[in-house]
Amino acid sequence: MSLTTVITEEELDALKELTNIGMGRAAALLAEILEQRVILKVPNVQVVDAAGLQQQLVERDSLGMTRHGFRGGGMSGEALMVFIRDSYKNLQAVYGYPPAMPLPLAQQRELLLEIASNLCAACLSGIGEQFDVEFIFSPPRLLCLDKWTSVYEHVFADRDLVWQHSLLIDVHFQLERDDFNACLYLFIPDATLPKVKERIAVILEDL
Amino acid sequence: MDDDNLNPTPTYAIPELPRLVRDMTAIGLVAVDKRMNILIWNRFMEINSQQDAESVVGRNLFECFPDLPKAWLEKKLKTIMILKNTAFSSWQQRPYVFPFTYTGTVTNDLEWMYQDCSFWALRDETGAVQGACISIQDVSETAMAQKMLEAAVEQNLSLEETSQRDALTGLFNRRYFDEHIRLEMHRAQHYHWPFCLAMLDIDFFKKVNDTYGHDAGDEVLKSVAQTLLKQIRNSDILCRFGGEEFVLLLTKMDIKDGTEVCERIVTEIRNTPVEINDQHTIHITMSIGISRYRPGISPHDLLKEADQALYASKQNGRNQFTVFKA
Repeated sequence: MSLTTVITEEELDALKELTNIGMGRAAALLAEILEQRVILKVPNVQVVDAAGLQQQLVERDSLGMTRHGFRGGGMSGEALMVFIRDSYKNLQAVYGYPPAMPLPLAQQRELLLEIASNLCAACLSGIGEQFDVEFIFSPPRLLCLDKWTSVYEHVFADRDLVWQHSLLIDVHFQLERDDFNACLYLFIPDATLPKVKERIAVILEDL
Repeated sequence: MDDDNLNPTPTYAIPELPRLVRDMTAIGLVAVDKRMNILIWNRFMEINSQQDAESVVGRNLFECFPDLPKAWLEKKLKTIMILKNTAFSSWQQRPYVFPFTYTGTVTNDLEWMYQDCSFWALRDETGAVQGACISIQDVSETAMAQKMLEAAVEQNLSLEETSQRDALTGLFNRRYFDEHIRLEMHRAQHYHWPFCLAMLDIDFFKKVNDTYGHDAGDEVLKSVAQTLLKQIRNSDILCRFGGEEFVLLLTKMDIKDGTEVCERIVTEIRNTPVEINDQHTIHITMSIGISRYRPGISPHDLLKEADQALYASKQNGRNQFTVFKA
């Protein structure tokens, strides 16, 4: 099966549009939580195949990663948060931790999971709104902390993947005031892609 | 939608059912409004906090319980009210949110009840957020079991790995390196993978020992090992080669990426001073030599090349890396 049969050009365009609107909503929610303007680039929406992941996810300046599972409206997927360098520590005051002190390890983890949950929830709620779906998600899990690695190396390399294709939405976060850098990768693999297409069809019809 | 007839308001056989469900559960349930005033305080909370619902409902959560981690918890509750979503707190990061004593203190030395908490936004029928809910689960038993398991696993691992590890730094030892370099060369040849080998040496280490004593020297070695570990991948192999010398196998990596790793290590070591007993701050630097695997080269020759490059780094003023050139 080729990528174009997985999802059509038209569907992909609609998805890009919907995601983009969703991100606008997400940015507004996050600005309130993070107490500053959130800078979101237009998210990248594409279909990837498992074999081609290596080219996508090899940037090596990540120091922390978390994952959530999410589901709603018959769709399900996984959200990977990737924190670039240790810029997440710049948000410790915003999250109610003592600002000047270096945090003990357990609290560094907690802070990372907290930020990951919020970024993820905001984006899923923004996208969900466009799809008229409320996503729920599992507690986040820390994949790694304080380790220079890439998503590909840490999560996918040397592993047999049970999926062939996946919708991949990646969102890049920066903040206006604090130096902060993170990426969210939303994967919706083939198993529930038909549901995504169904939703898009309904939305396109309503236009 | 007109399915009201299909879903008539249920009539409870037990009129008190909602209250019973709320109270007769082994989970703590707390609800607050937007101003953090308590709306619900169930029986689990009453018993563990030794405060009746009557005496706390309607009052501010943080005024009733000044021991709560206010800054963190308030942010968390406000955040879920904005996101209209759920959030979690795990005992693994934060042993407890509500400081309750543990019930099994007779047989255990646990002081506080370990808790997993969920948080969610409380919404009215129009979908508008009216407050937030917290559920508190006592996971002390799970936490203790997990801790015992971890301790056992660690003990086991340490027995198994002692023969491969350097006792001071916890890094692999020279024996492990000697075995592994052959394996790596074999794989590189078979799969046509690149790999690099680097020799690393702490500059003027003898001076540290002479000035601050051998204990300080040991601290420096441990600290350097930790800094190095952060710069490499799980698949890389870092060994203490002896004294203040380390050797690093960068698997499946070409010389270009290998050079980047060296550059980062030199910078990070320079920027990570070692604190000794809060008395001394020792600034250190490192010199590195790196070479790349080519088919047919022997482990001995590859090591020699990296060593020559290391020597060049030392000659050129230390605190730098050199790539071997034939």
